[in-house]
Amino acid sequence: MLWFLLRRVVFGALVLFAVSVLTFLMYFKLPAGDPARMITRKPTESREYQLARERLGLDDPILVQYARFARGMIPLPGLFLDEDVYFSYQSNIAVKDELLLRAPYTIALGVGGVVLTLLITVPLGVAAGLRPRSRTDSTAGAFVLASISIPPFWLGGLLLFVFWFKLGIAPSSGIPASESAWEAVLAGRFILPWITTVVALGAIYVQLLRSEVSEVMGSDYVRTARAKGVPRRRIVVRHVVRGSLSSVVTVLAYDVATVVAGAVVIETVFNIPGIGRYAVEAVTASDLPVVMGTTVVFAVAIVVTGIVLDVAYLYLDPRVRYGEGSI
Amino acid sequence: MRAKRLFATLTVSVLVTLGACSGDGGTEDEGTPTTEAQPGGTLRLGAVKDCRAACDPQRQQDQFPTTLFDCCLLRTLVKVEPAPEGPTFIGDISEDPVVSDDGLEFEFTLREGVRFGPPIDRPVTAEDFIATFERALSPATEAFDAANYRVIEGAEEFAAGEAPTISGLEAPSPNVLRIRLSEAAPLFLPNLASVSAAPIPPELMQGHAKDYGRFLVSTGPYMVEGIDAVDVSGQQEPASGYRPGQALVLVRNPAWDRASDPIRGDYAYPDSVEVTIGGSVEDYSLKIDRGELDMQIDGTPPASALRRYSTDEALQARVVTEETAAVVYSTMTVAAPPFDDEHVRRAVNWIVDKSAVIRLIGGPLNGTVAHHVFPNVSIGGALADYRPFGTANDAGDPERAMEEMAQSAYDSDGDGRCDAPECTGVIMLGSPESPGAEIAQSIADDLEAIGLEIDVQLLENRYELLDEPSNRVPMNTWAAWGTAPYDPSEIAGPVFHSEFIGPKACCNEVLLGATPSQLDGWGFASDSVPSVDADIEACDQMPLGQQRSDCWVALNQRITEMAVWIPLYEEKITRIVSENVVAAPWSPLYQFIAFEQVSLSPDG
Repeated sequence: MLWFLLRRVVFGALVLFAVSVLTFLMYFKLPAGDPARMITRKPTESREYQLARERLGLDDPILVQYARFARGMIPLPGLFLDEDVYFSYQSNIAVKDELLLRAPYTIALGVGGVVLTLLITVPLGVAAGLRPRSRTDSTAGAFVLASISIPPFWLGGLLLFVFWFKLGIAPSSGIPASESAWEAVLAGRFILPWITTVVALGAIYVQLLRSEVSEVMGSDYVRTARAKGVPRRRIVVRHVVRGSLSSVVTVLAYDVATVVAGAVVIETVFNIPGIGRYAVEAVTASDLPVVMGTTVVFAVAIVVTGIVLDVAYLYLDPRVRYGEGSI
Repeated sequence: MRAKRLFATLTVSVLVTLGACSGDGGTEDEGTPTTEAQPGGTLRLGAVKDCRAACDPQRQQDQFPTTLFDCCLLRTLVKVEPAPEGPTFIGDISEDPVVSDDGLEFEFTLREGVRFGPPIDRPVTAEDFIATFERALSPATEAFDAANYRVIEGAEEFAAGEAPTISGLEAPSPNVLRIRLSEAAPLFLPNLASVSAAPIPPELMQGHAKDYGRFLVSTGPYMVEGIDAVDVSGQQEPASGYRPGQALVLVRNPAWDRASDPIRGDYAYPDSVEVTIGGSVEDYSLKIDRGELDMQIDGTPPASALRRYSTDEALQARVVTEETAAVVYSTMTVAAPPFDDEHVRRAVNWIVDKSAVIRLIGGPLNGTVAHHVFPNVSIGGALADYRPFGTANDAGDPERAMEEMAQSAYDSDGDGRCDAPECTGVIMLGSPESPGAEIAQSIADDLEAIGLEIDVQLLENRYELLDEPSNRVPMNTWAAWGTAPYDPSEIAGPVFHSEFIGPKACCNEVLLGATPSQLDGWGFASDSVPSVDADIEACDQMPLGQQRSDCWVALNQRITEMAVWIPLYEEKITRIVSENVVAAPWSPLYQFIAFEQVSLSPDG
């Protein structure tokens, strides 16, 4: 198990390296603009422009420039997202500081959204799978259709318009300066974003569970349990649901990473100052340090999630064991 | 089948809900309340874009936060009030300045009672101004208007690192500042009204070259919430009242003395100001409708909201609109065919339907048709009736255009249509952002009538192409430039003087004043282009006043008739205010709504 985890960490580091190199090269190959001009807004002959180029090391070889960013990916104090390299060209604020300020809002959005998604979709999917062609199954089908069809930006705008603007029963978009992420949650500011997240993510969970539960209900061990007189409820909870969850966990893990890394559209529609918006604004503004910094964070989130997922499988499905051949 | 029925039911339910909630919003539209407003309350503003450069007043000049700096946070030595006969100067931190006869020496006596707010909380001194100018001139600061202060004697040497101090700055006593210039600079005094010249306490300069804005110390009636908790001597955490990308909160500055502030002393009505950052203009418009926001700082309100407010008598009082000294235009490069022929450029000016452009920007609340290159405001309205290419309803005049084109060398048969090979595939760069894209297409459609086939290319990074003359870009559209409301020099020089051609200089895209060798080097067939360098230099040397204004007026006419631009419209600042706002006066000093003078309804 230890070897397995070690190999996963090494593999994760390689993934992180590859992602960072690709991001860096894309920035240089695409017409992203001159950072020194972006910062100083001065002509290229000006002293300010020349100093900015020196300060940013823009005339160094590309490998040297990448090495500066690469150093900031080492997860050690003083090195990780080093403020001298990872600072926004637009705002001059250290990427680390911005991420720390924004992370609570993204986590509140992501975790809350995923929890609500599970609370709604798991019972719905299981119930639909247990009762094929019933009204419950039809409801699940309708939910899946709506979830696939409705774009999150449209739904978010609609929810705001109806529940805030017209009915006045939901808070408006944005988070006041006086509210922390937790206070904003308590003030109900994340309810509409969470609902939007449920619709954005929910289809696959309902559909997966529907089909998994249906399949598992017909399997030999469930038939055996029934034959032995095990109560239905116990069969469903201890055997059927547990057996169906492994595929859901796979999807869930990557959805958590994606949502926590930044549900950009939802953050934009509801004006939540999260990491996703920060990343997209940086891409639009060709703000390389922010793009690199957020890419590192996203990649780490996905890699760590993958490792956690693999460990979770061991618990959920005793048939899974990781041998020498596993990556 | 059941799933379809269920979905249909859901859809109908949503539609019924929407239908049941008809009307303009969650609040009744009562227009401006008639109750008497009292000082107090919280002014709630919205900013579409966050500060650049961590809101450092010397490193950014965007509407947010500069409008808040002017009214509420940062006092300067003087303020400038535009007037048709020439600007007047009002002492802010300083008493009325004393200027020598030759215009080279200035003496400022600082008023009693002007103090830095917390955490510094001490009187502002002349030495603080010296430190501020040194910071602005230090290349490491990358101050946006350092060039304005380079006329101070010794500034160049200081900026080059050859002198430890600026010899032209003296503080003979704590409350007297003397400035000596190395050459006459008519705009030096008005430039001191810029927030980049607002005093910065040296105690907080150290270690904050890049992020001083998060530790901003106020001299005005308000301060950033939480700045009083900053430990000047120890580990400094930024003021909690500014959360990048989220919000900025201002509260009253306890160190501000009303009696020392002739500009704001009678006002400072709101108790606090809360700025939400990062929302869209549509989002802010809805919040203003519901009374959850009082107004937005930057960005233009949505066209639909402007239409609704401007056509409803009960709501019209809530629209604030003022002209600015900014003009939007299209350029024609005088060296690039077919625009190297003045007749073609003049024909273009005759044919363009400017009324369509006004419609595309959302109507007259957002801009008025421009008839010449310098904004009317910047020349005191002297050419308000001057319309060398004026047409009925500003809709363009195809006949006049074709008459002009017929005189051009590019119209071989004299039928009023450009028929040379150079008339097809003429590249026009534009912005992909709305309404820039629509304006580009509208102009391209107009030019077809005179035989010009325009290839519209909408690019985010068009200025990288335009800045390099060897790209020989013939046209650019939806460009904008602003100047001081009392003087057009900030347009005249950078946009028309030969010194500002090319990527090392920017922004004379039309290439006026380019030399024959430059033109040859860039690959143009033309070997000469007109120049207005001498006229610009002559006007720029004149002291502020009627003679200078007359000089700019004459230059304006000359450049307009050369037709190197298509002046499209002069921008207006238009804002919608909520029903909580009893009064939102415009300040000629700040060239924006005076937030400290906004009075709020006690019912709000």
